[in-house]
Amino acid sequence: MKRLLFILALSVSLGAAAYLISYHIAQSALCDSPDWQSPTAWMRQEFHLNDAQYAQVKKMESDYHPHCTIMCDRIEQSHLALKKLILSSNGLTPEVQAALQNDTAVQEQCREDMLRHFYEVSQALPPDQAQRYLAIMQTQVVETENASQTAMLKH
Amino acid sequence: MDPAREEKLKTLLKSWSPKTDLPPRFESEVWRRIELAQEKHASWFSFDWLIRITNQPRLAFALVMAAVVLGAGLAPLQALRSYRHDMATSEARYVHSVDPFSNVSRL
Repeated sequence: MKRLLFILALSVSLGAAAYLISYHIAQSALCDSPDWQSPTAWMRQEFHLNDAQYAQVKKMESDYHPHCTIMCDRIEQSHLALKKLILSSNGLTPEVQAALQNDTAVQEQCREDMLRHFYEVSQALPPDQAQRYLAIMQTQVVETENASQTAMLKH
Repeated sequence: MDPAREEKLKTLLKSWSPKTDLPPRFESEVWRRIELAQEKHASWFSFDWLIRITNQPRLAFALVMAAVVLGAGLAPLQALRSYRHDMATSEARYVHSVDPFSNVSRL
């Protein structure tokens, strides 16, 4: 019985050690991005960016971020104004039409700005990766809110 | 057989003793194996099969090696799974950070 316990303990210990070492090696081989929490970490890993390219993309993203926040606020305010008017009106009044047009214009402007940013970032990527980046990101422009929700739900 | 020859053979057999050197603990090992063989067939869940395996050095070694191979083989699969999950999370985080529509709260 002692022998059985010893063999089992040895199997478990060596098996666990092999697992840990192998896991560490596999993880090191798969991932070279030390900052997974950063939103741009995915860019580095997915598009195989070198340090210079990654620094450039990171700077572009941090420059774009305040503008993205402003756009988000504008969309939200426009949606809110439209919703209030819809609920306070009995029909398609000129005010509702104007709010609807304004909402569309705001969304269009934001989509344009977002697409411009995607083009700028794609130019900082290696040529073979730029097209792939645009192929992934175009969904956000083409499908706007649906794409964002789908992306969030998917993960 | 002729009784006289039979008697002679018996005497000869009684006087014969093996001259080879036996390995250490030969007798106890023989008795242990006899005991093991006489045991009733153990059920799969009683783990007697495991005791039998661990009593044989080659099988015990194979068991330890199997654990090592299993551990080393499972780890890359788990690492890949974890990596894919991290990548998906990271992609969603990036998209969320660049898409103003994804940050609009549901009104």
